[in-house]
Amino acid sequence: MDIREDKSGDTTTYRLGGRFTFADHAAFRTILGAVGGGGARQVVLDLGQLEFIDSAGMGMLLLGNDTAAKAGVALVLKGAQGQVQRLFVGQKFSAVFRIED
Amino acid sequence: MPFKAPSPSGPPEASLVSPLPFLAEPGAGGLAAALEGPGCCAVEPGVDDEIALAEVTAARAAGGMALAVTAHQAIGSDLAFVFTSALARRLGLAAERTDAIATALQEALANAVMHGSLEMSGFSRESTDAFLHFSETATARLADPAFGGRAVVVAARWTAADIEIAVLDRGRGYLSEDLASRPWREASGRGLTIIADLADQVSFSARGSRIAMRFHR
Repeated sequence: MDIREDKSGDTTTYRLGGRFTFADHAAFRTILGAVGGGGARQVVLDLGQLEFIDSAGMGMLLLGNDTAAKAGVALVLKGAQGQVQRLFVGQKFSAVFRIED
Repeated sequence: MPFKAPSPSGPPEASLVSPLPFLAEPGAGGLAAALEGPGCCAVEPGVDDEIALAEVTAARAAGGMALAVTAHQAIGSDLAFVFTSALARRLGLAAERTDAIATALQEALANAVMHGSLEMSGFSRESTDAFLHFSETATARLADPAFGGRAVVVAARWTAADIEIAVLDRGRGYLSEDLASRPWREASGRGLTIIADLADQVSFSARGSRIAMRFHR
């Protein structure tokens, strides 16, 4: 998975690309640090270029959401499409996350 | 860097069955090249587990496709996508079916590596510290030949109606005997639920060390 960071005001955006799977646990630590109170009040995960996610990737997103809630940070999932969007719907992610098109 | 393949043991006439070909190159490119080869199967040099090799041999005999690699290779080379792409080209699968197979196969391979080969539970959402510990342990075990060097096999065979894909790991098994033998749709674990939703039939053996997923073509 590719991760690109963009900071603007009190919002940090991470643009995720490629495939987000079990193999990306180490890379996800960067995002976990940001949503855990790294300075931003809002963290946006832009998933528009993400081609694929597996259950481990979804588990990491859920952990990120829990961590953000504890730190008072708003986490937004944006732009999911294709296989990623289909799994989000199947796993009822809209009930847990703030999701934007 | 190419693998250094071991020399074949014994004279060629010692066996009526030709030896399994070795993977020439590591990484996604090497896996793809092996699956496009005439035998459509390959073994990573150093993988010598008899049960793993038997799984590959059986798939080859059935005219299918198979790879036997280390857990380290399986997780680091996009195996699910390389294998599914080769299968889709071979069988002319529709994009939607290819997508479903890749998703289910990725879940099966992640289970085979994480639970089977590395003998780890999934990470909990309890705390970030627990996740960091999980991540560090996974990294260390993948680098440890005792865990990351274990064989993982993905093998496919097909008929005009169905495709069966088996994933085998050589860990101790991670499902209880009860769960491995009974209907398991209610099983905990998001990955198993995803597999159940996408495959038309699923079966386990060896306490989860072998999963067979059947898909209608």
